[in-house]
Amino acid sequence: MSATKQHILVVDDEPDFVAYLKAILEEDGFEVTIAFDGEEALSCVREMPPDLVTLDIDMPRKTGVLFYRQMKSELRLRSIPVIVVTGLRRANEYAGPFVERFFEVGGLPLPEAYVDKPVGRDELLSVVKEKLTVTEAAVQS
Amino acid sequence: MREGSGPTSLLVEYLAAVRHPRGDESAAGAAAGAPVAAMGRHASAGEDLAVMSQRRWPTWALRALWHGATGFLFGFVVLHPIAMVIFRWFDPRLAPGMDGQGPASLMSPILHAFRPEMTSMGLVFGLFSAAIALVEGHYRGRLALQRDQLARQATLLGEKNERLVRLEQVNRRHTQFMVHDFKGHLATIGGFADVLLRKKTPTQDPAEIEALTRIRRQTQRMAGAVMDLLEFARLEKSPALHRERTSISKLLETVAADIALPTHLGKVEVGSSHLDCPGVTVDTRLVERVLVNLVSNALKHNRPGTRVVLDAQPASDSRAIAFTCTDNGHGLSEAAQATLFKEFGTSPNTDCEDSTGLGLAFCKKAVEAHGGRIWCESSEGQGARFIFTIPLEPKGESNVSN
Repeated sequence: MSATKQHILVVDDEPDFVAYLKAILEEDGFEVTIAFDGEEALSCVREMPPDLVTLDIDMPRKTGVLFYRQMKSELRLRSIPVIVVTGLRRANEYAGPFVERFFEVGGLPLPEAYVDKPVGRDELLSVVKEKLTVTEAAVQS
Repeated sequence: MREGSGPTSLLVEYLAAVRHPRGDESAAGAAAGAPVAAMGRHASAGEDLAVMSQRRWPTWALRALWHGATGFLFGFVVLHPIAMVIFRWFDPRLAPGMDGQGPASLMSPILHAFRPEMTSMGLVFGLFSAAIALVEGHYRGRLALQRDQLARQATLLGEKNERLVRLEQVNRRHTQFMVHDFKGHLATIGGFADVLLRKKTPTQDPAEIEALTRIRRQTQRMAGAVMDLLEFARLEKSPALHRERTSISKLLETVAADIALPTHLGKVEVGSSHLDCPGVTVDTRLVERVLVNLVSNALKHNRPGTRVVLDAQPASDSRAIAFTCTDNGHGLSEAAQATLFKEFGTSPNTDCEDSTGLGLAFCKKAVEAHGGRIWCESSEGQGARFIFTIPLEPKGESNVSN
């Protein structure tokens, strides 16, 4: 692990939930930036690429799916792992089974992980850490 | 939901249609087409009559006159001569002067019936027949009208039913979204309580910590109940499971350590026979929820200090795992056991008010979705043991792996 704090971008339109994720992650020693929609998130990642993004799907202005496509189509940002944090898979019995297909487009890499809302602290942290170490190992090799 | 399309307005519309079937053209207009086609001749006759009866008395009087006249003619021209033939056949002396053989023996009494001196007899027959025709016509008319009304009401009811089904579907979807939102909010509240609890410093007020613990427990419990509600609805529609491999001890330990359990009311322990059990492929979330429900029931419905033991062992035929949740509380009467697993049927002798009554019904549904069985062994004053089995070989259900 690097000496500097690892940087995570949390994207979700529900401010309280964002604050919750931020509290959990900061408590565990991560540096957290927040964005409330895809538009904002896109400018955030362009300005300062984070080490990891947690992404909600259903957001105003620009949905998580659109943000994901645009981010992953920029080569510079492609290697940033994305964890999709959504309630859609469980909440919506109609769209639920298709949520993962939203991201299967244009030969872009798939999201690194899915986490269902509501998410517990331990679950989130374990997934975040796992994905961070995987990408770190990939960068080093 | 649209304005004025709620159940109340449906009821009003329906009552209006039932009470004023003839006057309510707007309601009946659209509906009339279908029953006419469906009911054929009767319905159109009824329709006719319904229209006629709106024109007050002259029409029904004319109708009665028509029934009476045709009845009279029938009596006079048909019944009376036939009666003469029959009378003659019974006793030839009744009609003297009617001689003849062969066809003539049939014709002469008929002709006799139209002789002037027989007019009074013809009148008697005619009036008698007219009376019957009138009564028959009256009831036939009423029957047609009723049939028509019935057909109309059936169509109306069918339409309302369709609308209700649609509304119910919309409602269900909305509820699902709403309930899911609740779950998210509750998880955020509970999560923040958790964050605060984690930050506790030695100087922090113990009352504050306790309050936070309570907040966390209550929100988690509520989130659990909300989740059960969602799962219950989902299982009712399709018993598809998200199976995954897990070990029994992991399941039991997770449940025993669940922060949503009212452990301040008693003690939860994990027994030791589960160590002999092989791993299982189950919907972990569902089985955990079943166990949590059983444990929190045992804690809530008994005196504080109750001891609850969770355990599992291979069933006698070793094709299933039997999970047990045993408590040393006051047990259940036979009457209470009978209604135990019914939806919204809470035990009458509990002193607990906050039970929704869905818990055990949910448990039953979840266990049955796994192909297992759930039951209770208890006698009053002896504690209670809830047992459910989960087959080791899943079979006969759509298996959705997550």
